[in-house]
Amino acid sequence: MLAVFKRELKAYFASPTGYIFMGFFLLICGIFFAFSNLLTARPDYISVLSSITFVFLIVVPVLTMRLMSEESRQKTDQLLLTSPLSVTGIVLGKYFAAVAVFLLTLLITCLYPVILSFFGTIAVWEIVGGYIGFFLLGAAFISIGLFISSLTDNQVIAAVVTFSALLFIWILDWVIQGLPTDRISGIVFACALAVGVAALVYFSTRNIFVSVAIAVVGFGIIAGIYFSNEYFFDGFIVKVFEWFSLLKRYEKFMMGILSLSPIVYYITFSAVFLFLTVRVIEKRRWS
Amino acid sequence: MKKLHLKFDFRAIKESFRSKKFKYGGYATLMVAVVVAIAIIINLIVDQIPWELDLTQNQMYSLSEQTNKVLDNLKQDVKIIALYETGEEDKTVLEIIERYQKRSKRISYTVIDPERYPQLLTKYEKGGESLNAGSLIVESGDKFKVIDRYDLVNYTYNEYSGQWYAQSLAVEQRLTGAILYVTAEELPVVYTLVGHGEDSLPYDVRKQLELENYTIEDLNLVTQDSVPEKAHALLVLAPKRDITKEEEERIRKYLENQGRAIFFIQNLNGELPNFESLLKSYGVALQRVLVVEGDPNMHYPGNPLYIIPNMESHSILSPLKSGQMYVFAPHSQSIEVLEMKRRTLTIEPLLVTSDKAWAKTNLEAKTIEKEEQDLEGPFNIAVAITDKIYQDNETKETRVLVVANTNILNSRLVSQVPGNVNFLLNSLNWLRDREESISIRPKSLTTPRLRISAYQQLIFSGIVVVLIPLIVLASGLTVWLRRRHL
Repeated sequence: MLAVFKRELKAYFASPTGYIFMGFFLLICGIFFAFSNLLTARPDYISVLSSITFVFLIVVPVLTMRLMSEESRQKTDQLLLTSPLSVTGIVLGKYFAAVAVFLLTLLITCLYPVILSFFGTIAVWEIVGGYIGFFLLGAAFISIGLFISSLTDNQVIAAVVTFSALLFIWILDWVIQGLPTDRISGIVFACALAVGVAALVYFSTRNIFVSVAIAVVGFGIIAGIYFSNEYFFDGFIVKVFEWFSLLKRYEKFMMGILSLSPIVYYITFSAVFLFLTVRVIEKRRWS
Repeated sequence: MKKLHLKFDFRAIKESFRSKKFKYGGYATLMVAVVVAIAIIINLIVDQIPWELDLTQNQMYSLSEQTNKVLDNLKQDVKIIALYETGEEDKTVLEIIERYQKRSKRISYTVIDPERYPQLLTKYEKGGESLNAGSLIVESGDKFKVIDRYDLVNYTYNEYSGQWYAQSLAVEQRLTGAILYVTAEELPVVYTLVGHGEDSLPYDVRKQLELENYTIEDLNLVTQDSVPEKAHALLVLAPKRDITKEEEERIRKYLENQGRAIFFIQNLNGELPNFESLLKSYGVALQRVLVVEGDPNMHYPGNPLYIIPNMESHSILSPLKSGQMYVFAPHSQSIEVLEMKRRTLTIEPLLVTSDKAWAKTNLEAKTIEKEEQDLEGPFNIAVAITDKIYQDNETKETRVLVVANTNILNSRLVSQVPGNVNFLLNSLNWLRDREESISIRPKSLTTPRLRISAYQQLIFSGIVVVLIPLIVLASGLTVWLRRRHL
């Protein structure tokens, strides 16, 4: 893992990618910092971190597009897979290399609050919390990019698909507001979820009995919840989407609260996508 | 040969069913599903762990000692209902309510969408006022209190821009006040004396008093033969005519039996002998003079009659000082502390003019300039009087506040000068030691600006916007060029 990590980190700074990522990120961050803090003389730095989350849309694809696809294009993936390294080690090494470049960039932006502290008092802990959240959010987006990069052997496609996937996440956050919030739609949505899970199980195991049992248990749970708390399904669709939304969970950090649930969510989110990446490569190995 | 194919799992699965490895393929998908399910379950469990740190500088979401004490002593269940349309919730307010719930098992809270379930809220609508989104309802047993959304934030009026802006967050104050209200056995009643041309309390003051859980009732001492025993305090606001001997006796009797009263009183337009004899027995006298402030920092610019008096150190005034508020007292008289008074009396000055002030003794004078017969300052505009009497092994304490000004509570002033209403509220709290409502401070929402010059602004903006990205891109370019020529 360490060997892969070092090699990838070197590759970032031997090619323009790393510099493009850092330069662009720092430019956007700098513009927002200048306009919302310096030129208005306000010490409130945490809002900068939350208003530049959109920058991930553009810079994450740049950072992750070549991670896996380049290997399969140059056919070096054969070498990697036949090396004594485990697939998990390879994926983790690449992932941490990308995260390290991102972390390095964030460290440079730590200069900004230091500049502010010359001219007034800053909320140190609030900013530390904001950075923790921002870093974990970025790491989660990078894991999405890594996964998409492993699906194709073309850098450009990987970048475009990653961009689209992230854009979809953003659009979903805007669309959430317009989703129906009444009780009936909430119950229908919950039932559809149960049916979906059952269908997935059926297609993967072809075992009709188990699938039907899962669907029935799901309906039973829904009915049970409904009769114990009739308000539970009001706005259920919105609640579910908000629960899964990466951006929604960032709000806690924005408010200046360090809370366990978004931290754990970002870490498990990244872990699931790393696992999926490993699965994809394993599959390619066997096919 | 570059073949572009995105391998989607789904197609791969379908193929794998036809292959010999269909079992393996099914197994792989199931494994992915199980991992995702485990991740979701972990997060659902973590959601139940109430581990949070408040990193904000002024502890925006943390509850004060007072609130915690109130919550720990709750004897009955309290329900908090927040009215928000789904997806439009105010995170900050809900965050604070959640802290209440975490602190006490007796607190439960729900969010109800007022647009969707108006029928659930009909019982909370008093006087046909419809409840708007963003308001909170606190309910316990058969008592409830509605907190309007605009009472959750204190707004101040900026005279320069002519705009109102949010100055501080009073969610905790209001919520704790409401919890005290719905759980209290009986609520403090402030009786306002009527029948002598007294001013009525302006709407803003009434509302503030109600927010602090006071009930306000009129008291006519001609028709009633005594001030009720349970009175929190008697409020006498700017009487124009004197009380009768009988009324004076009744007030005196009430005060002697641990009574509490606050007088806003002036006698410039006519003597009020019975009132004055009442005050005299508490060691003070109203001087029939008009106070003029000589220190330009202590009156409204351009009008030395519009006094902004000094605040002495007293528990009534310390919250005002820490909140950087001031009391504005136009056209004041002065209170003289008498030489001849009972030994049990303690008289503390509250609002005092500077020693550069003078007082016009000739009320017919055409000028407010200092003349020969005028008195020299400083003058007391408000005093707090305590009378402690030891009788039959118990202490009887009487407290009286006298303010030689009748304009402090006029409606135009109280809407613009928050210090004036707060002076009244703190005075009422002091009269009957209601400390729980004194010390919860609103959380400031304003941040001090940076002390940065225009030149520095431009220099640092240049550094972060141009210089830093340029260094990174330039080093990238050199690396790239060097590698091309390898």
